Amino acid sequence: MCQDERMSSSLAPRADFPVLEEAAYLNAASIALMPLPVRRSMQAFMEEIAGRGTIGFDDDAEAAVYDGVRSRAARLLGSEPADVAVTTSASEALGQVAWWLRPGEGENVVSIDIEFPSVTYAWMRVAEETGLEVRLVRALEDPLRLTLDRVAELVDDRTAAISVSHVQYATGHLLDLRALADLAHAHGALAVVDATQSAGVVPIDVQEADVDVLVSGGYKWLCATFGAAICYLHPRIAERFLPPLISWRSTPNPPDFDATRMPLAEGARRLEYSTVAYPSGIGLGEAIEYILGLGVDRILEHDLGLTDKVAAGLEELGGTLISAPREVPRGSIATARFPGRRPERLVERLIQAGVIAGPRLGGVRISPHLYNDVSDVDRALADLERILETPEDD
Amino acid sequence: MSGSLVPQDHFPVPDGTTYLNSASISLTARPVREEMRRFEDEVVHLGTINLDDEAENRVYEGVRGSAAALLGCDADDIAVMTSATEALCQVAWWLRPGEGENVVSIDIEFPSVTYPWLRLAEDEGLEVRLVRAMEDPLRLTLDRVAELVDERTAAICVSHVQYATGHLLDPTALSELAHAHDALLILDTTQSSGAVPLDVRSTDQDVVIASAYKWLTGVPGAAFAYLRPEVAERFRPPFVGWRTTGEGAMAFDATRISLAEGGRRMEYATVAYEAGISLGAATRYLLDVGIEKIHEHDRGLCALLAEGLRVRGAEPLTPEDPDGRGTIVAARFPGRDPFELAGALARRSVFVAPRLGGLRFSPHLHNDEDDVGRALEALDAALEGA
Repeated sequence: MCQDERMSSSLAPRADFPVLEEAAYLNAASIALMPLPVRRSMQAFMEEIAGRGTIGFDDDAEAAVYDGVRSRAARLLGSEPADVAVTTSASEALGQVAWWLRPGEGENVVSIDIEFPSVTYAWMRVAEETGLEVRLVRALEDPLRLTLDRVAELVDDRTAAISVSHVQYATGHLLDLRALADLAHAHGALAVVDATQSAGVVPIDVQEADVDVLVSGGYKWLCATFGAAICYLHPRIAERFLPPLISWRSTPNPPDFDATRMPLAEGARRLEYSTVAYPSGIGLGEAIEYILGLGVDRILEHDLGLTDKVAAGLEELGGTLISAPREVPRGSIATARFPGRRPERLVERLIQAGVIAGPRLGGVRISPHLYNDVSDVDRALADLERILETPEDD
Repeated sequence: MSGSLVPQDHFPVPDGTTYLNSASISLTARPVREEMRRFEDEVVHLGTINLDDEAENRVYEGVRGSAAALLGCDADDIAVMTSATEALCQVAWWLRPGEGENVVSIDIEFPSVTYPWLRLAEDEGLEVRLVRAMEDPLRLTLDRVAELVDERTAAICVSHVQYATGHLLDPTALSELAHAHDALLILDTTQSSGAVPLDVRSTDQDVVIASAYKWLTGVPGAAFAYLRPEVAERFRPPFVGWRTTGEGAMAFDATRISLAEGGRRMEYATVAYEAGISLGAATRYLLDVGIEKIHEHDRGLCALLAEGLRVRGAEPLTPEDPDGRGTIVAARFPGRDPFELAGALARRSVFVAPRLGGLRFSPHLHNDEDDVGRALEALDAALEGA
C-alpha cells in the first residue's frame, strides 16, 4: 500500500466515533474524541459507584483502583508501573512538582513564552512567593524559529528546572526529549516535560529519554476524558519527592486513616492523594489500551500523513504556516495565519459548516488523529476555501 | 417517619440490601444519574463541538447555583474543585503559616483535614496543634479546641461533623473563636453538607469545603468550596492553570497570570464533567426534598440506631445529645474486631464501615426504619456468631 492509500482510511474504526457522521472533527489538540468502547467501560464503572456505593467497592478496592491504569501507562511510556501516578490533571501534577521544588531567589526555571499556560503558570506563581526567576524563550514573534538551542541559551548553573512541552500546543514543534534531559542534567537541573500534546501520537520512552518528570493530560491525544492525567516520576525523583497535595491515598496503606502521621507511599503513587473521578481514570486506562492496540508508531505515521496534507492545503489557500514544517520533528498539528482574517471568526464559520478546528496563537489550528481520514481533510479544506472567498462579516 | 423520604425506585439497591454507608460513598439518585447520562449522550452526539461553553454553563454554573442555594451565599463565592482535599490544599498553601504560627485541628479528623498542615509544617516550621481526642472521642468539645487557640493561630481547620464519630461542632461558635483570635476558620463540611443545614452568612464562615460523593449524593471527582468575598479578594491560588484566569482558550497567555474574580479563582484545571454534573444535580435534588426534612429524617434514624446499639451494650463513639451530632452513629464492641464485624454484616447484605475501632452507621434520605431493623438484626447475628 502506498502512503496515500493508507492515509485515505482512518486507523481506528470510524464506528467507534459516531460524531464523525456529522462533523469533520479535527480538534484532537483541544479535546480528542473518545472511542465508544472506552465510554462504555467508564459508564459501567460510574454506574457501579453511583448505584451501589461501597457494596462492590470497599476501602481496599478503592486503594487499588488505579493499579491497572498505571500498568497501561507504563507500557505507553516505557517505564515501570510504580513510576506512574494518575493525577486529576496535568496542571495538578505540574503544580505538585513546582511547589515541591520551590526554587528560590537566585535560581531560575526555563520555559517558552508560547507554551500552554499551565506549563509556565506553576513556576510564575511560585516565583511570586520565592523570588525565583522564570526565563522564557521568546518565540511569540516568530514561532517557527523555536529550537532547543534557544532554550539552551537561557540555561545556566542556577537553573533548577527546564519545564517545557514535548510538543507545542499551538505550533506542533517537538523538542527532543533526550537532548532536553541532557541539557538539564548538564546543569544539575530537572527536565520537567508536559507531553499532553504528544502522548498517544508520538512514541515516548522515558527511560531512553532520561527525563525526570513527564505529565500528560488524558483528554487530548490519549482519547480519554477530563478528570484524569498521568504523571511519570523518575525513581530518583520519586524517592525524594514530598507531595504538596496530600491526603489519605498518599500513604502506603490508605485505609489506615491516621490524621496524626503521614507516611508516604513508595514510587510515583505518592502523587495520588484523594478520592477522585475514578471513572475518568478507568477510562484513561482503557483509552491507553486502545491506543497501544493500534500502535503509537502507526498512529504517528497516519496522523502526520493527514497533517502534511492539511499544511499543504492551508498554504495553497494563502495561509502562512506557524506550525512546524515537515522537515523537523513535530506532532500532529497544522496551524496557519490568514492575513487580514481573524482566526476566531474563521473557526466559528468552520464549526457552523461542521468542521471542528480551533483558533490558537493568531492562526487556525487543525489537528487530525487516528479516527480521521482523508475525507475529513478534504472537507475541511473545501469549506475553508469557501469561507475565505467571502469577506469577513462583523 | 417510618418510610424513606424519597421514592424507593430513586435509589434501587439489590433486594434485601441495607445500605447505611453514606459517610463513605453515597448512593446517587436515579434522576441525578439520568441527568449525568443525558449529558454524556449529548457529548457523544455533538462530540466536543461546543463542549467548552456547554460545560461552563452546565457543569460549573450548575454547581455554583445549587451550592449557593444550599449554603446561602452568591454563586460567585463558589469554586468547583476535583476534591475537598484539593480545595483544602489550595487554601493551606496560600496561607502557608510560618515559624511561630500555629494551626489548630483534631487528632481524630479525616487525614485530609490535618495532612496539608502537617506537610507545610515540614517545610515552614509552623506548629500543628491537635486536640487529643483519640483516647476518649466522646470528650471532644469546642472548649478543648479553644484551649489550643491563641494569638499566633493562623487557622482553625476542622470538620463540621467528624467522619468517624459524627460529633458536630457548632459553626457559629467556631467562627467566633477563630475571629476573636484573628484566625481563619476553614470548615470541612464533607460529612454534613446535604444532611445538616448550614448558612454560611449567619454563621459567619470564611472557607467551607465539601466533597460531592458523601451526603451530597453525587459521585467522586467534584467538590465545592465557598470563599467569603473578603477572603476571595485576598486569595492567591497556589495551584494555577489555564482556568485560573476565568478567560478561556481565546486568551491563553503563558507570560502573565490574571486571576478570575471571586471564588472561581481557586479553579485551575477541568473537573470530570460527569462528576460536576452529579454535584450540581444531586444538590438540586436534595434542595427539592428539603435539607431540613432530610436532617430530621436522618436524625430520626440515627436516634433509633443509637438506642439499638445502647441496648446491645456497645460503647458509643457518638455524643448522646442529638444537637451534638450529625447524621452518623458509631460505637465500639469491646473484644470485637470492627473489621470482622463489618465483614460479617456485609455477608448479611448490611453495609456499614469500620472506623476508629468501632462500627459506623450512616443513614440517609433513602433509608427507612426497616433498614435500621435489618441492620440491628444482622448485628445480633454477627455478635452471636463470635
